[in-house]
Amino acid sequence: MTPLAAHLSHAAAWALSATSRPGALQEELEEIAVAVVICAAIFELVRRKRLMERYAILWLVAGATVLVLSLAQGTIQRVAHDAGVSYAPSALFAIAFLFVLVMLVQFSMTISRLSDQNTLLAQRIALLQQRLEADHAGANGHGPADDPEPAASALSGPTDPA
Amino acid sequence: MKRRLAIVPAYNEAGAVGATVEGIRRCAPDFDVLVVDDGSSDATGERARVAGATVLRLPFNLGIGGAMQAGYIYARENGYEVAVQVDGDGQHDPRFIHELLARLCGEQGLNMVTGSRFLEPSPEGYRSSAARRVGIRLFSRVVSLITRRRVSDPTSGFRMTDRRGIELFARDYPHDYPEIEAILLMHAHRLNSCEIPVVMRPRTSGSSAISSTQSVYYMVKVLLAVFVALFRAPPTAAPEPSAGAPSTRGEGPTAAAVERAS
Repeated sequence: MTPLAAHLSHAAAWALSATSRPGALQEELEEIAVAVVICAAIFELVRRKRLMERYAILWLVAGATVLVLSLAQGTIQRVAHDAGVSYAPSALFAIAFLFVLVMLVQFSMTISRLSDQNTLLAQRIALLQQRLEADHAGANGHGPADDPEPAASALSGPTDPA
Repeated sequence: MKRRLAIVPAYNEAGAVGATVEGIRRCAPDFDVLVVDDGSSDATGERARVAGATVLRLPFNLGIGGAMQAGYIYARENGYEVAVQVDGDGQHDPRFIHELLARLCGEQGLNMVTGSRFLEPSPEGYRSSAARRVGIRLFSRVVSLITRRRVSDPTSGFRMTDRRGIELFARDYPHDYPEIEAILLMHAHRLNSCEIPVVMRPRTSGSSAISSTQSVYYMVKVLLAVFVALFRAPPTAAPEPSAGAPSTRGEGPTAAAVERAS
């Protein structure tokens, strides 16, 4: 038997064993249930606007992946075998780990962007408040109001927050 | 209105900020004083106001970088030609403000002047702890190597910039510990900086923004920032009229004109 044929027969044996073991059907149903629950939970979070679509996509992809893997039994084994991983669950963990890693990097990027925007907002609030108070002081005759900007006067509300 | 601004970043410096503001007003009466109250929980803002400063009150603590940038944005939007940073803790002696100004105005094409504690051969005054001086010397080497210009005190915040520096820093200022990166930012935008010797004082109250445990983080963070900055594409715009805005490329004079008009 050539090495290639040996590989193929190994793969076939794995694929078969995954579907023909006793209890395999129940396992498959459980996996499908997990996938459906993940997708439904994400969908519900998006529906309640607790999760933005932008961040839901990766999670939905994860749920869909679990669904595909549970429907197409033996996929993991085949992928593991093709990648030269002798213990199939390791391949699964590797894929899951990669997914989590991508997710975390995305979160770090999001946090960086948010804190940048946060800084800009804080600075702008301070600048607007200062201008507002200067205009106020000028209007009350406490001092000269230098260049009253239309933007600042449009922003002055009925009460001064300070 | 005066064309020169002293920006005083202060975080919980109620004990020192009043004296700092009064010192600046006494030693440099041609400077407006802006205190950036970086989300203090004490009376920093009120003391500064009483002492005669304009106060920018940040709603929460942004750190020195965010506070200084707020000051530079204020300087840009109010048309100041010169801005000097004077720390609120009393370390920077306002008597040197006019020496910084003389150097900035006296040399053509100079955009920033920093007050250095280490330029004099036998320095007096406050020069930080021994452990910190080791770190400062390391950064001094690195920054001097990159900018090909001797930078003896890269962590000094006592610095004065012209209008181009104000515009650059208002648009883009480094985050947590900005002094070293700001020098490199200047260099990347082909703006020129130099140092003059100054004498600093130990802080009169409060505590340093950087505790000893944070020093390690400081070193790593700044080294990373310096390293990454080496790999950033240099700004493409010509230094004139407003330095280094990447958006001016391809849009020709229009973008520059808009920037000038705003």
